[in-house]
Formats: sequence, C-alpha cells, structure tokens
Amino acid sequence: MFAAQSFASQQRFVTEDSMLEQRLFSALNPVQVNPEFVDSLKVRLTSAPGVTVERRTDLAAAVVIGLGLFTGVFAVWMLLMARYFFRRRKAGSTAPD
Amino acid sequence: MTETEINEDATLTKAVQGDADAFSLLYERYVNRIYNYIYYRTGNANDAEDLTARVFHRALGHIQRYNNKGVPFSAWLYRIAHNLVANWHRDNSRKQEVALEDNAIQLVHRGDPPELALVNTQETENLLRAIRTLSPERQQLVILKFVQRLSNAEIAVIMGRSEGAIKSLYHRTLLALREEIEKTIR
Repeated sequence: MFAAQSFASQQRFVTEDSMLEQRLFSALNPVQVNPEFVDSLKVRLTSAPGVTVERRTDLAAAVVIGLGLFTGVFAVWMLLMARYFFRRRKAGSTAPD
Repeated sequence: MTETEINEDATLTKAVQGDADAFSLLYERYVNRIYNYIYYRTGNANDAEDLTARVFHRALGHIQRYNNKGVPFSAWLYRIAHNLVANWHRDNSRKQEVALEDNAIQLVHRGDPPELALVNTQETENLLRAIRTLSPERQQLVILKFVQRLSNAEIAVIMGRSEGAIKSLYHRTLLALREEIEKTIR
C-alpha cells in the first residue's frame, strides 16, 4: 500500500517535471542579437589600439629632476650676479674722486 | 577530438598570440550565446549589449592569460559573463523586470489567435518572474539548459562542477521553480 502510494507520488513528480520542462523549452527562446551591435562591437574589438605601458626608468627620472634643479639654481645664480654687478656699478659711479 | 575542436584550438592559439582575425572568429562564434545568457540574466537588451561588449573587451584584454588546457574557451567566456552579471546585480540592487517584448513577438508570429497569444505571454511572464527569484547559480543552469540547450556535461564544464552535481542541482531547481509558480498562481 505504502509502496504503491510512493510510486504514484514519484510518477506525479516525474510528470510535473516533464510538463515544466516543456513549458520552459517553449518559453525560453534564444533572442536575436541586433546585427548592428554585433558588427560595431566587432569593429571596436578588432580596431582597438593596443595598450602600451610606458615604463619610466629611474635614470630618466633622475635626469629630468637634475635638469630642473640645475635650471633653477642657474637662474638664481644669474639673478644674484646681475644684482651684484648692478650694485658695483652704482657704487663706482657715486664714489668720491 | 572533433574537427571543430581542432579548428577552435588552432584559432585560440592564434588569438592568444595576438592575432586579431582569430579573435574575431571566436567572437562571431560566441557572441550570440553570451548575449542570450546575459539578456536572460539582466532582463533588458541595453544592459545585455553593454555587458556583452564588456565580456569581449575583457576576454581580449586577458586572452594571453587564458590556459587552453584548463577550461574550454566557451566556459571561460561564460565565467567572465557570470562575474560581470553578478557585479551588475550588485550595483543595481533594485530588481528589474524581464523584458518580454521579444518573446511576445515570437508568440504572435507562431500564428496563435490574439487571446491565446495574450495568455501565453502572461504565462511566459509568470515563468520568467519565477526564474528570477532563483539563486544566480540556478538561473544560470536554467538559461544554459533551456535557452542554450546544452547538455548536463557541457553545463558541468561551464559551471565548474561534476555532471552528477549538475543533475542534482537541476532537479532541485525544477522543484523550487514549481513551488514558486504555484505560489504565484495562489
């Protein structure tokens, strides 16, 4: 009696499963992709420029920093020299004979 | 190994070496499947297009890291798609409705009378709503099985499980889906 009930219940589940499978197969249809999207993505993928990673070496960085420092120091030195010569000339012209 | 698999292996090898034409062949082969998978997971065409583009851009960017001996290329693409969809769901925590316009058009084109087409659309809508209540893993299984029409063995490779585990997950998924549909009918 119990075995018969169990078998009947199992049969019911199998039938319900196959009915649900049928519903799923008929409802879930593959959708058509927009061909314009497919083509434009293909173009974007194939014409995408390769990414190049620029490696900055320590030497290059040192040269850039060194040049900057040198230019700065040189500019300050030039200013100081210009001021020194200007003062000397001024002092020379006002000195008593 | 079939001829298609040999061809795919050769194409893959070229693509890994940076051959753009080889990659575009792979793209043409898989774009429909990946789009369909994403479409049914997100529920709208715009997001499906956006995420499909991201999947292939990511694949192109990382193809040199792809190990041909491990998983098939299709499984690799599905995994990228699965991760991107998971991120998309995380970012859009609000629940989105599944777009039915395409399914509705297909139903009308089958030549059903309008009333029957309407009933069918309503049934499809209920079914899709029920599917979207499932866990991401179960949704993936349903899409691979019923939209992509893949076998349990193929699904197992894509989902990184044994065939037995997929069979068991499939039966649990059908049971959960049936319960969810019964809930909506009540």
